[in-house]
Amino acid sequence: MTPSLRRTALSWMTGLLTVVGLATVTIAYVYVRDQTNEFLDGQLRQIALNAGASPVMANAPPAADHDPEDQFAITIRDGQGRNVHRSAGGPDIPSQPKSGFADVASGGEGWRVYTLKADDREVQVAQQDEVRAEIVESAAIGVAAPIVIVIPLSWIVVGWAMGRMLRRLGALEAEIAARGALAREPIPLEGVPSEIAPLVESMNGLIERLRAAVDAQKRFLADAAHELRTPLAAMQIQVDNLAAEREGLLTDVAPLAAGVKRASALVNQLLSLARLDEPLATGRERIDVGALLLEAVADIAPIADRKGVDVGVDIRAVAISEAVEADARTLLGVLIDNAVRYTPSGGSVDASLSGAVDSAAVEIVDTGPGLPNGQEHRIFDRFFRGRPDGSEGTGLGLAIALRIAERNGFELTVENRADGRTGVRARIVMQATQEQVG
Amino acid sequence: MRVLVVEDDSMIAQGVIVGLKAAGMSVDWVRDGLQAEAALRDGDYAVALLDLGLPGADGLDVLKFARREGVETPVLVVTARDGVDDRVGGLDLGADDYLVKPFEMRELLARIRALVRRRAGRATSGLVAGATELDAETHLLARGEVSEVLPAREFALMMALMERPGRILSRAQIEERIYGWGEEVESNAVDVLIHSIRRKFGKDVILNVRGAGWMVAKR
Repeated sequence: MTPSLRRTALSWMTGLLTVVGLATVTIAYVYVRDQTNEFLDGQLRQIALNAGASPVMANAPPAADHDPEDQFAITIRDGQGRNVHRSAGGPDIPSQPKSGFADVASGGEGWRVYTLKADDREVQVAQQDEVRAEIVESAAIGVAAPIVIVIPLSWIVVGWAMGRMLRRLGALEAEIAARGALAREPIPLEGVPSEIAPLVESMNGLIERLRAAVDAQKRFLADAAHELRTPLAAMQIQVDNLAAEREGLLTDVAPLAAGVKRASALVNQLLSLARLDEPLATGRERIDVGALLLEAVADIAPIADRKGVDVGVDIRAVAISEAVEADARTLLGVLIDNAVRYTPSGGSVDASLSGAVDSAAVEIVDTGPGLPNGQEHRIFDRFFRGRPDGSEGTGLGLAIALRIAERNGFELTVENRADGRTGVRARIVMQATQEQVG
Repeated sequence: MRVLVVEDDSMIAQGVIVGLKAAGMSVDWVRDGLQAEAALRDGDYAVALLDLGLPGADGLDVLKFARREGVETPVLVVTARDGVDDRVGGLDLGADDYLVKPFEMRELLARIRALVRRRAGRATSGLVAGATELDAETHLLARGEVSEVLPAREFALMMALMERPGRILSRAQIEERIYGWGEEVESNAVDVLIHSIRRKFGKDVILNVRGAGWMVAKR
């Protein structure tokens, strides 16, 4: 990933400020140095012009923060080269050959010297180079200091401003992360920085195209399942005719009939799955869970009877829930159908409904072989079949059940029985108002 | 008995025709909406099977046309569509029954027979659930090879169950239907009646759902 916006902005800004700062300091240094030298040289000359033979008055009041090093060193000689006056502690600077400025080394220090020669005397005014450099440096530092202070200050200010901007992006991120796979609404543009808006707009475009592609896929699935019904119907009729012609030889046709039936079941389940992927279209209504459970049990009763599976139902409460009725029917049907399907002859399937204060629980318990070992996590996968050796079942039932539970807000668990017997316990918990029976 | 089959898919049509002929019916087959409208208007059919997805004209338009023309032939809509709206639409427009593809031949035959019976004015007297038929007037119960006139209480019990095949009735609901108000009911009276019916017609004529009650299968 490329480095963060904040870090990039800050490092460029720091670089820029550093370059500007260095350039400013250099220019200031050179400029101030030249100006200061000119000014100080002028001072040296002025002092030399005005220096008289009379000694310095010892009682002159000192200047604030007086540094002895800052002093000018003044030497006055007479016509014969004898010292007439020499500043206290001043350097021993030799007599210069002619009037004017000179740079002289004395006592390990560099000095700037102005010499004024006349017939009767020679005046030398000297100033330490170091003092002059200090003045120039402090002037340059004075110019550079604000820039040096601006660098960390810019970090704080820019960092804060970027943070504010990024927080808005963070809100955008949370908004996108919270979206369901089926959300169709575009991502809102309010609060999005204008530079980011085109990105969000193109994402919206992408979402739109993806939705269209998904819709097309779903339509294809639904259409394909639909189209399969006609040839399946034809096959079913042919099989029925064949069976009718060869009365008594039904066993010949039975596997064929079973195959057609299974294909039909698969097509129907594919269709319901395709429909369930639609966002909840029809509104929820109040459903009587017990009545629906009873109907689902009644639907399976003939099959269970033929198979020799004993089906029982125990409605312990009247529970009214809010859900899509067709969904609830399908869900109960799938679970009971599975229970009967996987329970061998002589086994039993028990469906029950119990109520709590504001919820209802439907339980469907069978005495089949239970969930396939180690594959429990896969039971909700599409086309996963618990017992692939058994030729029945489409592998879509529990995928449908889970989808229904999700979109109606039910809690669905399908697991092995915990009471020591083999078998599956499917449990649906839903919000419901209820009345106890009798 | 003449049956009109309106179906554009020849595989289905031919299969249906074979099945119907085997059941002793004579069949006319048309493949599109215009022919269907003409056949319905001019022919005299005991029943018409109408596929909704037709070339030329939609099956529902054919139905609308036929009813507007005063054709009273019972129409059994056969469709691959199973949306609730399609069903309601078809029945509103004057279809007498509908069947969703794929279907079993014996179910198609049962529906045709039921429509013909209803047309003949015997609709209110006969109840059908799968292979079981109950005549409300003669109290004759027929299932497969067996048919027998039921005693009053057994008939009342079967009548209660067959009014809504596929629906479970509890013991209390059955007792309420069989016995008059204030009549003394033995605790095992319902069991005795069911045992008697099952002995004559087979165990699966009435199904028991433990904890809930009894029912007859829809098919």
